[in-house]
Amino acid sequence: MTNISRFFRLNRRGESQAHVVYAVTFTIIAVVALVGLIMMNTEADDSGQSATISNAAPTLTGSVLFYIPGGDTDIQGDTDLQTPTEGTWTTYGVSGTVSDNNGCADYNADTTSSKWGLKIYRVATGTTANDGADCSSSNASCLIDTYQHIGLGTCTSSVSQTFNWAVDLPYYLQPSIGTNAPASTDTWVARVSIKDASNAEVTGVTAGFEINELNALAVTPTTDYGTLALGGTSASQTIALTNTGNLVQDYNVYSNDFSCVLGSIPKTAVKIKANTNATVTTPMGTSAGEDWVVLNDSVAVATSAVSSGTTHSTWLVVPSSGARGLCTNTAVWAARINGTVGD
Amino acid sequence: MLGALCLCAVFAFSYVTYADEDIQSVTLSNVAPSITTINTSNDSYGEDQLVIVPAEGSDFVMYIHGTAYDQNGCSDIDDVSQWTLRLYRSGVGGGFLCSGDDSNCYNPSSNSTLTLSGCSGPSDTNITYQWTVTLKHYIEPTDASASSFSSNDWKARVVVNDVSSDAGYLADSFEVATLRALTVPSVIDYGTLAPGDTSTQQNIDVTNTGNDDIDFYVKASGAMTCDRGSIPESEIHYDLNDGFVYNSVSGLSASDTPINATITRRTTSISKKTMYFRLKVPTNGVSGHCANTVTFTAKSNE
Repeated sequence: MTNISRFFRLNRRGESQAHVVYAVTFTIIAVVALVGLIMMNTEADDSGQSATISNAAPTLTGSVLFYIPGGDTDIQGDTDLQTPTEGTWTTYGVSGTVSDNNGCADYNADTTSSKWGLKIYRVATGTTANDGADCSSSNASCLIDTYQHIGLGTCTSSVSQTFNWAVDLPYYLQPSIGTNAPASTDTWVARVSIKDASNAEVTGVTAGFEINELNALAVTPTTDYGTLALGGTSASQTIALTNTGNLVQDYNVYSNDFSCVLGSIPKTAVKIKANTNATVTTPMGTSAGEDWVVLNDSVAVATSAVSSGTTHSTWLVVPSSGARGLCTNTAVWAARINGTVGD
Repeated sequence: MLGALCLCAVFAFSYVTYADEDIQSVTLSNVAPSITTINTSNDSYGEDQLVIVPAEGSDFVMYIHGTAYDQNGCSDIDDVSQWTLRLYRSGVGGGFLCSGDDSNCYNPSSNSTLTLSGCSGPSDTNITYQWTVTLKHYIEPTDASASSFSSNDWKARVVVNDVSSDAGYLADSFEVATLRALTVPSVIDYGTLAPGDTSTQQNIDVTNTGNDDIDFYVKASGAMTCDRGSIPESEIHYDLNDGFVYNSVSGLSASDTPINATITRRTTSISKKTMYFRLKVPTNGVSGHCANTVTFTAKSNE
């Protein structure tokens, strides 16, 4: 400022010169301010942006199929009957194609039962398939996630995959067809439920299929009456009978004569006592048909892993002569439909 | 588990019914067989005889037959290889375990056959057997007149072993009759002689064909009858010594004359004694062919 004042003083020699100086000075100041303002407006900085994409529920493409692995690829709707395997569980398959526009990871990241659900159940006549979906778990009529084993195909176009669901079904499934099945007008379906990460769900139900009647049993494979003298009577032996089918059953039994190292023992030497009626004894029948022994046991169908069965006592009355050594025969036990269906 | 018993079509569906099998077993103990009856006879399936009579001089057949029983069934004992028979004199060493000897111990194999019959099947428990045994005529006698073993008898012991090697047996006693018998040549030919000649010595073998030691009687039927005339039987002299002197011994008679020859019972080889005969022809009154009969009769040994 000192220098400016001096300058002013130096230029008081004329009023016009002072106005010029002021003009120039203000001009310079304005320019500097303008440049500074411009410089201030061109500096870089961050600004946050966001967008919300709505969830798309998964969908099922095409039909959900119920099939036999390595066999019939599409059981439902066929006239073929599905006969359970005697005394054991059989693996079936449920397949389909699931898509999700949010991407495959939206449904395949978690294939546990919380996201992937399967029910196989009997549907009463006059109702829709989904009406039965709320059935309570029962190995005989409503199977839920019986075997959590899902195979997924390759993710196609980032959104779609095939799935194959292995499911084990027991031998005692309630039959849905046949004169001895009270639910003979019902049908069976398999229902798939798939949820994505947002718990949006898609469900699919197979066409109906029929479970056939199976009247089967398992019997103690061998009965050894021990070593006996001619004319002797054996100790009582227990014959265990197990219902390995899906119908309440009675039994018939017959046998051939014992063939011995020497001679034979007539089949009628074997006596049977029904455990339900200890006073009744009868000789073993002689052939299938009229001669066989009829035992009315009404053995229920199994309902869980615990089998259902009964026992009978048999013993052997050895003839007084005419045979020696090891004697064997075969008793044939046949399951006979009792006429009611167990649960 | 068994396959489907039936697959029954009912309307548009079917149900499946299965059967299952139970293999039943029992082991029946063995019961030893037994010999129910035993008979000894000279006749096939004949009545039981207390005395068996040998045949003179040749093998003879006797039968041991009866029935056997096996509670397990007669099929258990219906193979001939399961049967054994022992015939023996009761006093022989070893008893029924005696060693084979044609005189007193028979363990029949090649000299016998066994016939089994009457077993109708596994449910039948009885079987009929008959052994046909060929015996030597010189088996040792045991009846009352036997010279050595009259205090013994004979045993027939039948044993049957069933398939399990359990055995049943039964023995029967019988006597073997004493048979005293002999054979001699049918002809003694003195050749052609002149009146007054004495023949050369003729050797006659007397063979024991029975089953005991014997002596024998000898007698002539009478004088030798010739085409003309006759020769008294006393002109036929005999002796047990070879080379005997005609006039030193006596001649035959028409009655039995005992000869203490002691011809022992045969064992392995024939047993015999030789008797020597000479004939002296009268000096006159006879001609032509002359003949008579000399009878040898076995008797107990003295």
